[in-house]
Amino acid sequence: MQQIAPDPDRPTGLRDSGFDELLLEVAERVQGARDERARWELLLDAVVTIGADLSLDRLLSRIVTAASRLAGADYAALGVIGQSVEHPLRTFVHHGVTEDQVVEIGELPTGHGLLGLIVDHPEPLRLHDIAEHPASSGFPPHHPPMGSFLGVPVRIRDLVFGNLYLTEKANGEDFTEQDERIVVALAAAAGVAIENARLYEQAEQRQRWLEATAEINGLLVRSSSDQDALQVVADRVRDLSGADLSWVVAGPDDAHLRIEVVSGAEVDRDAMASWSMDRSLAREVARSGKPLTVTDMASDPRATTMDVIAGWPVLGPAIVVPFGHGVGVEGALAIAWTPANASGFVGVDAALPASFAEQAALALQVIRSRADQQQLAVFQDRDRIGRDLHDLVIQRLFAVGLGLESVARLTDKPAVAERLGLAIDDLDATIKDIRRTIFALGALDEAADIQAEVTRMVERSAATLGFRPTLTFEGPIRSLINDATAPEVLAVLGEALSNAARHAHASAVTVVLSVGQDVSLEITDDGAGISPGAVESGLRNMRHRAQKHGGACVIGPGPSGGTTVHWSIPAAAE
Amino acid sequence: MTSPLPDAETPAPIRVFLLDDHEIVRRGIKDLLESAGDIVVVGESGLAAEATSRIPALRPDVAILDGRLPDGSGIDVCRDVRSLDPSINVLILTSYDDDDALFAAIMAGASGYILKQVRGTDFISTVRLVAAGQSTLDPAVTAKVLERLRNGPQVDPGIAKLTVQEQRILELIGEGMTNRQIAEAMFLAEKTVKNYVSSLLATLGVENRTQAAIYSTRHGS
Repeated sequence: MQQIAPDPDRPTGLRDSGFDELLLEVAERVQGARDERARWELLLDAVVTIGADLSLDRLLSRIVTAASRLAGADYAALGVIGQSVEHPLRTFVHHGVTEDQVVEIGELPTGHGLLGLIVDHPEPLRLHDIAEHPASSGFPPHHPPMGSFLGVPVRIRDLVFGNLYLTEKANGEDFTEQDERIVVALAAAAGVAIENARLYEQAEQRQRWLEATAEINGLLVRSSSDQDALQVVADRVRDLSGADLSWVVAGPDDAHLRIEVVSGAEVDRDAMASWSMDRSLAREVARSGKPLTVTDMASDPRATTMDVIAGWPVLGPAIVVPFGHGVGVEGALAIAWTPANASGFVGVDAALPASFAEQAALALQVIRSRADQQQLAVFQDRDRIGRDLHDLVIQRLFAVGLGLESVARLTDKPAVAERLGLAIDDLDATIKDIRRTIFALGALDEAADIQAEVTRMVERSAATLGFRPTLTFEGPIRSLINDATAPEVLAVLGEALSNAARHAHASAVTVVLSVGQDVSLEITDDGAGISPGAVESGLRNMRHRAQKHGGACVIGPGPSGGTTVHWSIPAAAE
Repeated sequence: MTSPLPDAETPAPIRVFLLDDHEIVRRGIKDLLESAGDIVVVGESGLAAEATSRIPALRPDVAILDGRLPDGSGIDVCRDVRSLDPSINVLILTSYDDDDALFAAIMAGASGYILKQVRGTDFISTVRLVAAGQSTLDPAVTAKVLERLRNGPQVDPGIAKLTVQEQRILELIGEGMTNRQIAEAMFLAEKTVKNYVSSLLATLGVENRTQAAIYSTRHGS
């Protein structure tokens, strides 16, 4: 405001009558009224402009600028009140202090000292000098000097949203009652505009979440694995909420949870598997089935101690929602913000991620049950093939074999008997092959029994050998090869097969694994034979593995050239 | 083929009953066994129910029972028959592999098993041995199979959860007890024991592999 001071050089003819004085006063009042009028117009302008802005960030900075102009203050700021006791102000929008100065000062005010006083007592406050007030805690280094002060709370209905702070009235004057009234008026208008903008943002956000919730089905269908799908969920939810980190925790029940995927931080999958979720917000949520919101994860006693999880930033506020995404799969979906980004958290209504998670979980279940059905169909088909082979083919081959055997007994021609014998042997070999096929059809791909593993190893060796070795099992393999001997058998088999592939140049390999008194493994090839010393280390290894269990390993020429490895240990070895 | 003469010095022939749903299989086995001279097939059947009622009446020395039948299993037939008359010795005939055959024979309380392959199994001597009251099952091997069953098939731990009662019954089956003997030992009705055995077979048996696969799919990996 421009103050009009009496001019000493004016003509003074009417001075005595006091006319001059009167004139002066009239002029002053006219000027004052004009000035006042200009300010009210300015206020109206400000109200109209801020009312038109729907972006909360832009709106706040407009309010601050308007307040500074209206009150003639060099510096103005708006502190938004948060929930933290340590940092009463979660946002501090300011005007007048340059960016360079802000950098020099370092931290923005968080609501202590005088600023905190208005947070605690939301009433307008006018001061001649900030420093004189008992609540003042002084300025940090590099802070520009500030004297006069006007603070006014901004209310949204009955709740205090924040405070407008004005300092350094122009020309070193103090803020007037007029200033206070006009800023109070601006604050009232600002409250309405802020609420409007917040409602708009909330509506927009709700819209975004609803759209994402509707889209998640389509996104998940394209994922190639459960892990991928969960990653999509975590990424999407982090993107929507503007959070720094999101993660999915799952397990058969709340006592066996582990982190499945993380979005927003690099993680070592192996390390992740070992993190205990025994004490975690996720467990709490998985158990109760209710969303949970915390303002500071780092200090919340229910949360996992964050320093256990290497590579994660220190986290502030978090929302954890239930995410049980399958039959017997309990879990939780968590989103968290770093303290620096905590303002994003305030804007997120926990109900939105909760319903998103619910929809995603449903989608995952549908997708999984569809995949299950397909796999089930495959299993049922395999089962049927296995049963047919068993019920029809094996029985007939066996019956034919028995028939040939009885014919062989009737003949007295040795040549005929011999030919029949060969045919019977062929039939028996075929029966064994079919039996092995039936077993393979019934076995799970990931089955861990020795028969399945040996079969897989032999099948795999076909790639390097260039042909498929013949494999025969004799005796109750799975019953008699125990956990202690199974790794030895597999190691020896692997060694022998790779020797055959690398050194022997074989065109046929036979593998026989039999159990009885001994567990014995015989690998025969028709290759170049052993060159002395060539593969000594591998052979020594096989011998060592036999001796360890009181057995023996004999390597020598095969029946038709090539090499035979005969490795055996007593079956009783435990 | 020579038939034993009804001579005072010739011991009575071994009487065998055959249960297999394939007629050509029964004929093949009959030819083979009777070619030995001291074995006669006194009855045969293709159905479990029929065999269960006929075997106790015929009282053969050895019953050769196919593990899998259209109307039931040789294991159940064996347990039913031996509950009535423990003196009947049984061989389980199977075309699954040794491990499954062993399992079937132990669960049935049989004296042994014969794989459906022409060579490698000496049918005739096995029948003679069993007729003489001996078992071809090695007790050490039986113990290992039972151990493996108790620890559950490796397929899925969720399937192998046997109750204490089931464990105990499995143990007694391993000792070769009939249903009636188990019922007496455990103060249960014979019918109850029978139900337990069926559920054990369903949980641990060969037919269960696909179910195991389905189970593990359902429960994720």
